[in-house]
Amino acid sequence: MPIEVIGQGAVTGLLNGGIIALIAIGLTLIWGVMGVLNMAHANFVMVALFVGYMLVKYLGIHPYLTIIVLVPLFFFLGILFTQYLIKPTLKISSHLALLITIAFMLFLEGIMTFVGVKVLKVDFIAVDPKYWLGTFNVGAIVIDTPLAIAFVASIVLALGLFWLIRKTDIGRNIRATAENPRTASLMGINVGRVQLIAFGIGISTAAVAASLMLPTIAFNSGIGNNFMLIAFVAVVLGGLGNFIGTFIAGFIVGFAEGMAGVFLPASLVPAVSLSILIFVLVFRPQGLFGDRGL
Amino acid sequence: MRKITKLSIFSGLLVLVMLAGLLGACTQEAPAPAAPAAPPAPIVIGEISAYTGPPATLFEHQKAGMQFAIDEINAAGGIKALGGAKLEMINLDHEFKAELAKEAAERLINKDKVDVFVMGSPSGFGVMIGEICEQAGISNWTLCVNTPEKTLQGFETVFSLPINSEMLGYVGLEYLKHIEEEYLGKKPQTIALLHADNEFNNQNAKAWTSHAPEFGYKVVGDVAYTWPSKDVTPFLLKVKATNPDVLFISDVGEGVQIERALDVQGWDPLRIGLQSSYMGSGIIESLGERAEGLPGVGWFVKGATPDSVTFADKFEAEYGYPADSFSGIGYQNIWVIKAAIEKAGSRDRMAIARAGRELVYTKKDGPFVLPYDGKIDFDETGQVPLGVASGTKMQVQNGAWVSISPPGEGIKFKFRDAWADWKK
Repeated sequence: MPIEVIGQGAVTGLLNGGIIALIAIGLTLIWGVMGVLNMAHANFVMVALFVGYMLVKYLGIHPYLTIIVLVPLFFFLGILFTQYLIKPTLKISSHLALLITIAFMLFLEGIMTFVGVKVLKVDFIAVDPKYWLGTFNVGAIVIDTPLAIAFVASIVLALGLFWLIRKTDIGRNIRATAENPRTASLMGINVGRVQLIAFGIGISTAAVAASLMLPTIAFNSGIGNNFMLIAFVAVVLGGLGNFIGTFIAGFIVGFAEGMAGVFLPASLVPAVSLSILIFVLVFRPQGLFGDRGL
Repeated sequence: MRKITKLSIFSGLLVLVMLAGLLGACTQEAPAPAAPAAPPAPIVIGEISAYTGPPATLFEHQKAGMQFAIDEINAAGGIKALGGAKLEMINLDHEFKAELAKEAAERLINKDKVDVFVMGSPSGFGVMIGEICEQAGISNWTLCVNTPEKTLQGFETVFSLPINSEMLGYVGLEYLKHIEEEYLGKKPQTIALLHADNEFNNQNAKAWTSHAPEFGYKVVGDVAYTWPSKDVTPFLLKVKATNPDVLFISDVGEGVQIERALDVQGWDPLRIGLQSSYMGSGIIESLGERAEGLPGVGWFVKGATPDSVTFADKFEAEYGYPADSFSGIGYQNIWVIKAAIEKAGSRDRMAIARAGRELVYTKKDGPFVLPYDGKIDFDETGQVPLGVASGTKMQVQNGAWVSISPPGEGIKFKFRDAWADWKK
């Protein structure tokens, strides 16, 4: 295998890891605060991609500017989702809450398939190629500019979120709620409100990921399934609910996928992420970085 | 006073009964004039396909093509041999799930008692549905892009109008040969294939690889990519490393992803798409001007036959989007089914299947929108054989697919800037 191909595969995998990390930290934040695995998480990314695409196509705004609309919109949707679907079911059992996220995942896919088929009438959707933004070279390696932007932005956003969680009042409330909701409540924290905010932030990261991906991706309503598995692997690998661990694991998983594509037959590539998942669950269930909470 | 006797009472009653009978007879309605004969019961076509899930757009186009043909046939007086019986279609969604496909097929055949069956998609369910149709003795006019070994295994009732995966690989090579002979200044020596890793595309690759030497091309790369895939870049890099003169692509709708990955790598090789993005309208919609010059192989293209132009114009006026390979094949399939029913002269399921076996569809039976050799008939496996069937060899020009071979009016192969060195 030529060394340039290996290098290119490694860099592309690592850059893709930025997006995976961004999606995964939203997932782990929700898990940390609510104790719910939100199976619909990656389909929120998919819906945000559709909404973003329509904003670009019909309003002519730049893909990156869709963030102005998508973040508040998905923050609000996250709150509604939590208030009216997650919380009522969580009161009964966490299994029921998991089931409701699965149902909602399928619901979102169904709705967006309808939009793709009946409204947009195309099988794969992509923003106008004028937004592809070109490439630049680092030695012999070609770097996809929007992928590099997504990589840098995801690091900045993750650091910002880390600061928010560690250094602000709302962050402290989120961590306290994640650690023990009952004690947090006794300390005067409005746990219900904190959970809503945390869920809203988690879903907002999905919207940011969608904005950053818009210039790089061709998608349809099935794209969420691709991201869900890989984000879940990153969450488990990083340690359930471990914010920094999950973020680093996102890059590891992206890199592993990129290299698998270079070295393995296509049919074995998905097995790489699943092997990581199985290996971690069996031999290090607390993840590489431990289940240390947010 | 006269004495009332039993006899007089009996006589009186008898007279009353007779009078009542006479009165009743007089007041009975006159016999109604003969009612007009009831119209013949419709011929019902049952169809199953994936109308939920990401590829649903393709099959919605297919359904629209079929419905368009049904409307035309009904407007022209229906099935003549059955007293003008109209065609009706019931479409069921199997969501790309085998168990739902089985359920839907059994419901149409056993409960709805449809007269003919159309397997809309996908080829993966071909054997299972073929067996159901075979046992029920109902003709199955499949639109699955079949893999020859799997879906045409000796069923008496299956008929496949689209060229299969193996033929598509062959037609792609024919297309390159055509371009080489008519437009290129030098012969391409090496070719490579990038294809989705699934049953259909692997079959496509196998046929393509085995036939390439017949056309004088050396295969230097055959790379499958994970399907479905978020990013095809690693696989594209592997195929790029083989440095082929010409790249062939066989996808399941990821054409935009592939074209973007090519753009990122700054690689714009002479290439031919075998499936399925490179035969639909979505890639043109998504890529805009960057789709200009992309060559593809499909089933239908406006301009391949005179009837294809009429159909494409009317279809676009009716549905508001251009007819593509899926709408074209659906449209032609219904006309072929109609010809088989006319030939059978009966709504009996097996009579229609037998008529299908003997059918030779020509221009006198209806429109001819596919570039087939003046007729459509089926071999012993139920497939329209290569030689009779041909794929369309087309290219995106001015935002639409046009026919390169046979050439549409005034149409010539168009070179993208990066291909200038290949010009004659």
